[in-house]
Amino acid sequence: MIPTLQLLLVYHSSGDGIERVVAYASGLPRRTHSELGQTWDFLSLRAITVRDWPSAASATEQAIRYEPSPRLLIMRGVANINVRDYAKARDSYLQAIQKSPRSSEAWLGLAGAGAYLGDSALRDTALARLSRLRPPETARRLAQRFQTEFPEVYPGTPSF
Amino acid sequence: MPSAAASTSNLQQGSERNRALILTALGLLLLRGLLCFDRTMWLWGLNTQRFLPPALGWALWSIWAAACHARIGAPLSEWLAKLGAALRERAVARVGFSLVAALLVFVLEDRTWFIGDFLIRRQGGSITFSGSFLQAMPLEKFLFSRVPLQLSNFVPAAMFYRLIDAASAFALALAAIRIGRSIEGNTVFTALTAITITFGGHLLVATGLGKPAAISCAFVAAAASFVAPRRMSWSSLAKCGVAVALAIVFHRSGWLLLPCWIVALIQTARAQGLTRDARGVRHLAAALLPLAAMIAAARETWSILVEYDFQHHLGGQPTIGPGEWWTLSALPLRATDLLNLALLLLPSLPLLEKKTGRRRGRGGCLRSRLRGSSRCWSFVPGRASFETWTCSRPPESRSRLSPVSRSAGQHRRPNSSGGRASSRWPR
Repeated sequence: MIPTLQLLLVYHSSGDGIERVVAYASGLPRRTHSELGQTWDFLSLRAITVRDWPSAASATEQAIRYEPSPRLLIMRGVANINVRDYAKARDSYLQAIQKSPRSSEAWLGLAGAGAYLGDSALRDTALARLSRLRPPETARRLAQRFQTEFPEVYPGTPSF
Repeated sequence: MPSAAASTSNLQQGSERNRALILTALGLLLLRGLLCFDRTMWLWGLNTQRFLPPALGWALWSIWAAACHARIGAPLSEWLAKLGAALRERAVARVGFSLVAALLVFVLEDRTWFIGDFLIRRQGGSITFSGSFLQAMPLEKFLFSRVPLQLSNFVPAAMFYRLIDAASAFALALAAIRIGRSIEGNTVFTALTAITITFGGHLLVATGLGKPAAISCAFVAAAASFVAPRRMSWSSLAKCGVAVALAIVFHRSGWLLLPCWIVALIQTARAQGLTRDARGVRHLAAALLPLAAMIAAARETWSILVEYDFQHHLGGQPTIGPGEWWTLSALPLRATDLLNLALLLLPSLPLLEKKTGRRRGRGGCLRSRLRGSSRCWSFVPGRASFETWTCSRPPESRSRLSPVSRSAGQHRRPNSSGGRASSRWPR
């Protein structure tokens, strides 16, 4: 009964529970590659869901080491924008675009990173590429949904 | 009645077993305490306390440790005896006990979300992505996708799931009490059975595991509780049949209850025979409901097995990367998988044993235990020891629970070491 209660309490307290998961992923014994990838992916997703941006930035950094998917790269971009590491956000979006050139979210994120960095050329180029994605309605809808969910990815309203 | 020599032999075996169990329990207690200082995660199933605030963690650990001391354990045993008596006699106590389990699950919801379908739990059917309900039967999809969507204006999805989980914990506790009550004898044993089944880890499936886990767990406990009485009847088998049928329609894991149901069916048919009155026919129809459930669920279950389970668990899309199967760290995990599989198939043992027993032309030990007696171990805090009881099938006139050390005409305390034990036994 006591161990059950302890485990219920640990999972109930998100801080304690996450500490346990982080210890599982980073402590000994070394877990398998795919287990580590899945665990850091979970930690990234959870941190973003609760808008814990510093944790999200470090978790996505780890997750990308195991599975550098466009989704995780975009998640790292979002996290880095929110911790004001705009250069790293730009790099994340660029890597995501290399892997998935038709990603509306990555182009919008890159435009946002350019705007935050004061690089208007990068911002305008990214927005132009975003507007040329096919089909345009789908690209626009995806970009708008992305900005609705994470308004901070682009300062203001993008013109595309 | 066992002879005096056999009784003494039982007593000695019981003592050795008790000693081993006491040492194991104390070893686990110490290990859990020591692992608070270990920085690795080798034994991460036992180091939960390390992640709790120290005051809270050590307070709970101390309660556990204190229960092993006779001065604390004796009143605790008396309290358990009272609880057991209340659970046997009073419906209010049974509801209250079950409400405690439900309340714990409801209040201590999982906020870590590491295990299970946390996105669906939080957002209900409104979240749709490929694979959300890939392994779900229609009833599960209805319950966890359509119902929360329909009720979303009244109850948020997260609250809906918490209510379902609390209701499942409530049902699990009621079934656990029923199992405890089905074994006549010492009331301490009734309380311990109810507490062990309800709070011995199963509550955790009701807060953070996959969506259907809590309900499936309640179905298993319900099915077990209806076949727990020693004298099986068609009425109780009918209830077991309904629980097994619902489990099969709800989740494919329900098929694992079939061996238990088959054994209960055979035993009831042998003991009771077939009745031809209307009530008997109704009971028989309900008892055979799992057959209808199997027919109804067969196609869906098979497609889930082919499209998901075989690919994920037997090859094609393994969750562990190529070349990682036989690494040093993966080997214990594979061994654990096999142990889990063995545990899942435990209900098949009576069938297997029955078959081998028949082939050898004699009843096996397991069969005799399942039919006539079952051996149970209960921890008696007052004596800081495990007591071994043999729940035998006695003549109807006397108690069904008899301590192993009971000899002709004497009612000694089980595994008592001289007079000490009897003076500490709860009255």
